[in-house]
Amino acid sequence: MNKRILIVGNPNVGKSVIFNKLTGIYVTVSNYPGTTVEITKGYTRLPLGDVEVIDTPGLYSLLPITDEERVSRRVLFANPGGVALQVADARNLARMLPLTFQLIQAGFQVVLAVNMLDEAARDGWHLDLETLSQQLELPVVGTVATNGEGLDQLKEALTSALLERGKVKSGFRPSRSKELQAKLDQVTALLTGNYPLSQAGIAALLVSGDREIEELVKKTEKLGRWRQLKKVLAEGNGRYKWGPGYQLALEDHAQAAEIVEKISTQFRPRAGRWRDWLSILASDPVSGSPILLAVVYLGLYQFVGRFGAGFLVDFLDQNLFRNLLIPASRSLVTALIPSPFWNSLFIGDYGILTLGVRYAVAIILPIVGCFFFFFSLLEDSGYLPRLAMLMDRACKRIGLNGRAVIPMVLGLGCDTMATMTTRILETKRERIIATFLLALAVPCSAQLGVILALLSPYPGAVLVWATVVLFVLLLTGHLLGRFLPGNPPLFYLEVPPLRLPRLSNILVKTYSRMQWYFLEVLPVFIGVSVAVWAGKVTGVFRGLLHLIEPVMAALGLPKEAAACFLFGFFRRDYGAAGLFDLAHSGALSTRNLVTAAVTLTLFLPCVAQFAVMWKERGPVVSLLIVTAILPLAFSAGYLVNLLLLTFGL
Amino acid sequence: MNQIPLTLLSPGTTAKIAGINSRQSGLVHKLAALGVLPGLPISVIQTYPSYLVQINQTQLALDQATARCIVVLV
Repeated sequence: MNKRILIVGNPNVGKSVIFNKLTGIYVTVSNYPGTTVEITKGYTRLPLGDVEVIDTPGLYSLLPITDEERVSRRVLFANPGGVALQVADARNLARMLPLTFQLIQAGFQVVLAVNMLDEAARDGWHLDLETLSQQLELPVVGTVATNGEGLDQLKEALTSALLERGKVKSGFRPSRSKELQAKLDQVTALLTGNYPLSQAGIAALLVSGDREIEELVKKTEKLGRWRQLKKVLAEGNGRYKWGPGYQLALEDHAQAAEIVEKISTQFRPRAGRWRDWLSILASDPVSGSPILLAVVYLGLYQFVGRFGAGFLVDFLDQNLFRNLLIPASRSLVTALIPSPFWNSLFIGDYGILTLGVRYAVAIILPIVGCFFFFFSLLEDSGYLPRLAMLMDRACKRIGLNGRAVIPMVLGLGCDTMATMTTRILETKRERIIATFLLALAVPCSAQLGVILALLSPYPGAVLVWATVVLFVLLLTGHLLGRFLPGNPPLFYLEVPPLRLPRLSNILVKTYSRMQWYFLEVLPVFIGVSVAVWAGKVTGVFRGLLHLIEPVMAALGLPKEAAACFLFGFFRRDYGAAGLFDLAHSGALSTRNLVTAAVTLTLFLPCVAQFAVMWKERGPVVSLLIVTAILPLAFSAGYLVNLLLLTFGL
Repeated sequence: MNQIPLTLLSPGTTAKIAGINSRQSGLVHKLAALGVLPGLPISVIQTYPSYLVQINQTQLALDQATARCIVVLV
């Protein structure tokens, strides 16, 4: 018997926190529906040994709508009859129980964790979990995952569930109206094949009109049987105004509400009214817009731009690297490897230490670290969904909806991570548009930091750069939204309560994201250094530079800038960081700076982002996007240079 | 009792949900899963730039097109 626990539940109920507490491994957890875009695995130590735990993306019901939900369902299907730990939000228990019913009916060994008991208590509610456990005939444990409350009891319950697997099952069955139950029974009786769910579970999904399951049943059953099933499924649906699937959902929800009503008592009125006020202030357009501007100004400009890209980078680059590490390593490497040919690999102009490690550690890491801290703060406070609803109308103009705010804002941190997060978007069309825009016109924090640091002495330059990039973003988005086939996206999103972020959670999260980034970045930077060195030695690099130099000339840039663009192909920020060096040596005029900044911002995505694009969107879409970006970036740069020249700026 | 779309309610009012009027079965199921169920009271908190509604303990943000699909009793 394979020992495995699947963590399932609605989005934003604390699945990932529980996973972390059980396994001790950190996954990024946040106060935003839909953070777990990949499945995370870990091990938990129970009395019966180490047991595998799988964390899945949020799932509202076994009937999936988004890709994330499909991912979760696939995991469940791959483990028929397994132990499912359902995590539920205590404040919204009535909305969570229908999934419990479905899991029981589908044949899983369910353990229910009623999480965020503290928030329910703050609202003045007490829940009688013992009665709930008796009603559902399954173990129910109350938890406050963020501070570890109830975790020991949860482990005990999981241990018993693993031991009892297949022997003791919940006998709970939701009661349904006579006609609907008759229909479900008829369908169940007709099913003969072997399915990843119990036949009753399959029947419920068939009645709900699940296409994927229809295909599965059609493939599994004999043709005559399938025709019979189709007939039964189509019969008598006239009595349900909104269709039999909705009727099924209604009856489940009604019963869930009844159960929750029975087990909950309000012992005092709701507390914490300041949250309501703040929530209204953040979501109202009149007060919300200044709040948004303040968040962008303080968070992005002051904290990430001035503090991270300015102060921290200066400090690390000047004091640590240029004054200390580089001279020290120069003499050390020269002593160890006297050959200038070989030691330039480490300490030459583009050496591993002088360029690769220095860029990664001194220039990029502080900027990205600051951004991730800021983003984690936004996530945990619950501000992002409010931002999404504030921005929905604006997003619709570029073929997206408010939901896309999350990948877009995350893109300002790391476009690679953001491209992965586009999975939370519901249609393929939106995912393509978002991926395109991220690759084209959303500068990542490293690039943003370096560019802001470069341009900040000239406020006019920042303005021109920002206007042009924003214009390209809006125009491209508008055209994509207009000409890509498909429907305009509908927007609906659960808005979680505002929460006071815990510093420890923020720090751990920032750390784990920085770690992810650093592990991904450092090898690339070192690889680029080696590639550039080898290219220089063999003359390939010079050949490529010669190829780009005419383009630089057309943009009015000095030919040294060609190197930045070549680097930019490896990593966007790498190119921008090269520009930083070039500007410090005084080789660029303000006009050059603006032109270069615009072109580099719009230029190709970095290697890592391209790899993720390839994986998520496929080769055809990725190559099309890249092919579109090159002329777009250069013609925008050309026009900016031309305009600046014409107006003599 | 009249059945009207949610979009006809003004901010600060509460009504009872009658159902969801949409051909997209995906939307119907998603809204049901989010708690948009007949008989429950729904309060409109805000209507611009997006609709913000409250059903029991849940707050939902909806765009106009989605809000129009929700039928309420007044």
